[in-house]
Amino acid sequence: MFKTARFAFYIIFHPIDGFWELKHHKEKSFGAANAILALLCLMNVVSIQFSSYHYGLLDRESNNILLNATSFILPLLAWTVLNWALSTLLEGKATMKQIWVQSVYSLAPLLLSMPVLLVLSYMMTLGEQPFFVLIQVFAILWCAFLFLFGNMTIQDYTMSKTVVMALFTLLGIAAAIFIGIILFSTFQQLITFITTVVTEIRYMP
Amino acid sequence: MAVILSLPLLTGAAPYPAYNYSWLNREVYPMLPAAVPDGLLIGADLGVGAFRNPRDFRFGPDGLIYMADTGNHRILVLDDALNLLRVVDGFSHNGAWETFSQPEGVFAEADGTLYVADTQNERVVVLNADGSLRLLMDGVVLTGSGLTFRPQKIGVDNAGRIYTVSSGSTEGLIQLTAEGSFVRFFGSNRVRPNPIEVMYRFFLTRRQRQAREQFVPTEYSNLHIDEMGFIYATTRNVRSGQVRRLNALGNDVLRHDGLGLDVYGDLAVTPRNYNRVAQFVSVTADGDGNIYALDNATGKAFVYDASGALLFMFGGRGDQVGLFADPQAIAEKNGTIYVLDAGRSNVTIYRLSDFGEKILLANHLYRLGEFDKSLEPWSEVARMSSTYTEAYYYLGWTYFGRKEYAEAMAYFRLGHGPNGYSRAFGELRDQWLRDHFAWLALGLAAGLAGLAVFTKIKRKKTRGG
Repeated sequence: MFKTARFAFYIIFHPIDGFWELKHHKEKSFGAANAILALLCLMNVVSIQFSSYHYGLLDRESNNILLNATSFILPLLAWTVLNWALSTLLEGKATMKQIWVQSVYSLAPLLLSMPVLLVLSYMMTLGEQPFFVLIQVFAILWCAFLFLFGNMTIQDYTMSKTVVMALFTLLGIAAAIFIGIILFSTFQQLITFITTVVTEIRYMP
Repeated sequence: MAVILSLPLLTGAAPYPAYNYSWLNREVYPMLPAAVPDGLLIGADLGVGAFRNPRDFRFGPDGLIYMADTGNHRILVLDDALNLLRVVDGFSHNGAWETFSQPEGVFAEADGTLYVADTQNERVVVLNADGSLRLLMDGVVLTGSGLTFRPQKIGVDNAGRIYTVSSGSTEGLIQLTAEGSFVRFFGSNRVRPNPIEVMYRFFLTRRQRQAREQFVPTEYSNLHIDEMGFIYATTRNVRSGQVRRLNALGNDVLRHDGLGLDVYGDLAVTPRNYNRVAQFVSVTADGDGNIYALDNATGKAFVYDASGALLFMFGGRGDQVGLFADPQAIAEKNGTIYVLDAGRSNVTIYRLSDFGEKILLANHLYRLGEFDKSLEPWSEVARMSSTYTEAYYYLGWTYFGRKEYAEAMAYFRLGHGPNGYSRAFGELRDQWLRDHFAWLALGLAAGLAGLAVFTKIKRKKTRGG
């Protein structure tokens, strides 16, 4: 476990080699990835709840662990499924598991930045906020970079193809959300219909 | 002569729910009422018959009250004890007696010069203190606008510049010279088209488009000029920037520090007032720069401090004494607030409650920078009504001014002032850094030295291995 955690750090600074190893040595990284994700969700809640008063302007009272976790897990899940679904059609080499692990590992800079920002929030005034934002933006950009390079490595794509695939995946996610909403509302109507019929039958004179 | 109906039963009782807002969702926090109704003035009290649709009520610099009894085509002058001094219902012009027609606004200068916005006669009448005509401003041409000049409200600044609100004019206040010629539109509103509306209009036919609300700049509804020459103005039919303080250039210099920033009026989102636009019709300011603004839509009077943050509100629409049917004008003198109701043709006199007096006193001292003196009244305000969060906020700044930063931080948390909290925290941190500088420098040096030694050892090891 400790070894895989160290591996996450290794990936942050050696993305290409790291993701190559991830693909070919098939380390037992699935559990480690899930552990990282769990830690990320936890850290997110912690930093909303415990950052200093002047930085933590988000509503602490409506801080919902499940909702926060979902906001990480659901997009990752959608990305994994749709990226896999599209890449299998277009000569992608990665399995769904590999995409999942790679995506989660790519978020490692975010995980690393969170405790740093949490501590900094107790050391900085709002006037020094640009430094705070700088770290945040840097972490997000680094994540995006890892995301693309990781995907490129495990899919064995060229950079341009990776970017195009990423765009298509995003389109696919939008389509999936759309279909999901339609399905949801259709089922809702179906259920209402059934319950109405049942009620009518029950109270039939 | 004047008999104010005294209402002993009502003293201390407020006919309206008093509240302020939580910073987050603008939820309503009940609090103590800061002003309570203290009496009513009707025309019969003055012995001049009932008022009819009165539209203006304001103090002159001489401390007298000037009231436009619009439906009776006359101006009433009262002293501050509400005794009638004189009735101005016309003037002699070229040997003939002329009267007003529905005058909606009035303004007096320190020497008793009276400016009457003679609305339906489409002119401004300037009378000397003795009632003789000085100047008649009629036939004013609003260059660049097709509208006729129909003055409703009027104000004159120290330099003799005349500002009027004209019916239907959306270009801004109308500035006239002392001789009554048109200068320019003043403090003009800019039109901000809503992009969604623009797109929507693209798909409409011409007739549909005409049926929709027009994009027009907002209309000024009233003005008040303070001793320093700032013009307080209100606008109607807009959702933000309803209350402004204009400088001589016509720029809004109010800081808009309130919870709703430049959104004035009732901020509470309830099913009843959701989507209702505040209709501010009158504004006045006191010596501390506190702004008293009257919203015709809710019937509430709002009292804002000099930077536009809400201090308290009172009134509302309703039938009890202290509530209004069609409030049109607000005036203030020494903690007594007068609200003119055109619908009921009376004037409601509001008195500050002990709580309201404490708020204004604390605010006064705080504005002067007398932090030692403002501490006690702010604490008292917080003690009297613990849900009045503004008190905690200002206690925060008071302690900040006294350089007691830890207390300031505690109060900023209670009163929601992240910026103040951050500044107090910064001061504390810098002080700590200064006090412990020697130890910190030593620690840093030791750390660097340790690191250097460590890397050297490590390098030696790797070289050896």
